[in-house]
Amino acid sequence: MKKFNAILDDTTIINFVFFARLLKRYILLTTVIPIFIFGYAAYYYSTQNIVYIKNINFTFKKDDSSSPSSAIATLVGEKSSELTESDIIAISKSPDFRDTISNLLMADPNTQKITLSGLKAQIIKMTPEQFSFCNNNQECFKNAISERISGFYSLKSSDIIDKMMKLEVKTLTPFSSSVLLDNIKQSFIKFRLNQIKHSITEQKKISLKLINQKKTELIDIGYESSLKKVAQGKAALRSLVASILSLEHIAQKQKMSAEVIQTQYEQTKKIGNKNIDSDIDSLEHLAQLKKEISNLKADINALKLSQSSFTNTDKNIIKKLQKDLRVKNRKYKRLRKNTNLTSNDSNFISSKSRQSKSLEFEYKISKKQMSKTVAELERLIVKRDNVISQNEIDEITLAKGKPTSEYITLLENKLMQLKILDSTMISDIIFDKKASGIRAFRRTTKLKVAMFATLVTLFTLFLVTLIRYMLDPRIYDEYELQKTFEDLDVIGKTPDFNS
Amino acid sequence: MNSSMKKDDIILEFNSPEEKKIPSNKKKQSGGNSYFYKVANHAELYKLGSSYLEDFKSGLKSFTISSTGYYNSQQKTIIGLASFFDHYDDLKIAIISDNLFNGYFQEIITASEQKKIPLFVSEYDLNIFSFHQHFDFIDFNIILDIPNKKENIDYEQRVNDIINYYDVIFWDMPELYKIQADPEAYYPAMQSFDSLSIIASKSMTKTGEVSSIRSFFESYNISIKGLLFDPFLEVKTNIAPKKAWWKIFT
Repeated sequence: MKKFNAILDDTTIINFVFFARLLKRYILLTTVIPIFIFGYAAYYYSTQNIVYIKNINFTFKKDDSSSPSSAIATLVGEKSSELTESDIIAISKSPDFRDTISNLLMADPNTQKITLSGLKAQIIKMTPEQFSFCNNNQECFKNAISERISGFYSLKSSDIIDKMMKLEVKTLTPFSSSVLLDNIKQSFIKFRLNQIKHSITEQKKISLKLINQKKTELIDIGYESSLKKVAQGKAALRSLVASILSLEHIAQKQKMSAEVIQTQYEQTKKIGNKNIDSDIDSLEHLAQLKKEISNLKADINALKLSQSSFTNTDKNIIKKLQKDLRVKNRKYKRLRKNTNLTSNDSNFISSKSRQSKSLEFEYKISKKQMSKTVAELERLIVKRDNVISQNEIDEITLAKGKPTSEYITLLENKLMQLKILDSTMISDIIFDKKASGIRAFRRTTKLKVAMFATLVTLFTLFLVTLIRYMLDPRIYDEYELQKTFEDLDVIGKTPDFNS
Repeated sequence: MNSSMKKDDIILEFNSPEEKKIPSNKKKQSGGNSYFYKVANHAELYKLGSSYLEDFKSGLKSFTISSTGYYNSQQKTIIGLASFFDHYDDLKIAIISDNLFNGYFQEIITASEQKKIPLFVSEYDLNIFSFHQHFDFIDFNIILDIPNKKENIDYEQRVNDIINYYDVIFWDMPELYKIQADPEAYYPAMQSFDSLSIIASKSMTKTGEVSSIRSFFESYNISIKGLLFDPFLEVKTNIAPKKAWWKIFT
């Protein structure tokens, strides 16, 4: 540590003056190390492979209206989930993506003419030679490409434009860079489409499952039957209400008619008194008698006409008929005498009587009809009430199932949207039409090599010199002597004599 | 110390009144020796020398210079400091080294005069190499050899005698491994060390080596004055014998 004190300085930490003396002291190291390091750096630079770069820009932000991912997000009620740079980078690093690239490369005939040798490879080999160990096994070839391909492309984001990145491909030949760029570009598009499609498919499955689940719930609560019942009930209710209204109208009319008839009956009844009624009865009896008398007379006449051949019996019959005739005549006369009505009056009274009777009959009929109508009306009302109450029960059931039904409606709408999306989806990664030209460079530039070599030289020189100094037990100057033996005075230098 | 003071006064200051005075045969000199003017980095020498001079003025006289196997550097430093002190004042300066005939000392030894100086206590004479009476070179091995003398001589006392005789002593310390091989021999001498300075050589000296030297001498309570930095690349001359591989754990 005493020796170490000589290197340290209070102000500059390292005593650079002393260190410079050390470098001069160990001139061999000071010369050899930089020569070696710079020599190696020059060798490294000259033996670097020339790398050919080709790149193409792409964007991954679309308008919400045409972006499938945002449409899906809107449908499921999520916040808009746009593709981000992290997503793109994650895609580029995923093994599935590399498999996609290798599949495309295997299908591309140009793959036989490209090289997938590492950028630091000493010998550049074309793919058939490079993968000769696969012995034409396609699976082996595909896996080998998949394992290596990630080292040939990279993604860089644009500092100026938002949501724009650059796909860069580096290989050891210009043709390889072009072929790889095309295939990787196609892989991105294809992979992204597959991702979106998978998302849509999964959404459709979930939606369908949910729809079925909810439909089962509705069936369990009897929603459909309740719906039909409510519809039927409403129809029935409409007809019942119409019928009730009609019947009410009819009943009203019937009531009015019955009242009219009753009034008329009352009025016709007032035209005669009770006698009129008995007169009307007598007149009817008279009419009856008259008719019977005429019939008897007709019979007697008929018999008399055939009197020549009468028997005793026949004669007895004629006598009896004549007797009946006489009796009926007497009654007729007697009755005729007791009635006040004339034949006209009697005709009038009888007509009125008949009318009164018919009115009464009509009244009774109308009353019966009215009561029937009222009964029917009441029945319809009861029926209507039953329908209403049943409807209410069904409405409650419908109310219970309405949210589920609406949910099912939404899900079905979503499913429809998803189907439309599925058939119309496009990739949300859009590449430029034209890629950049091929650019050749060495992985490490001259400046970098030189700077690195310089830094390494400085560091190595420092380290090696320090170690050399620490391991060197000798004292080379007064300063070092003083620093090594700080507790002793350095009196001075020894004298020398001229010869 | 004031340069106007006489040398005899200096001797009296360090010696106890009971001890006999050793006659000084050092002539009074004016100015320094030629090596002082041969220094390439005068400013550094001045800075260095001033530091040691301050210590000398505060009463210290026995300065030890050590390194991690670069004796040339040690020797040049000692010569430089000795020249500085010599230029500063007319002082009796001793340089004690076990490598007098190698390295930078060799040239000076060749130009020096061999002498014997009687020590204060006994008749024991010390062989020295006197460089034009500027500074005396003493072989460390002679001092280390004192216990081996047949005479019954007090080793520590002998070292003290040497210390007391001179105004300033510069010890050119041998390599640590030599001291560690026979610490008892060096112990009396080390007791007289007032301070130790360690030379670290550019691109050669290891931190661990300096720490080893430091910790060794600190364990003998020898204060470490500081570190000297040798910016001139030099091949390591005194290399410690390699341990057997299994001894690295010891």
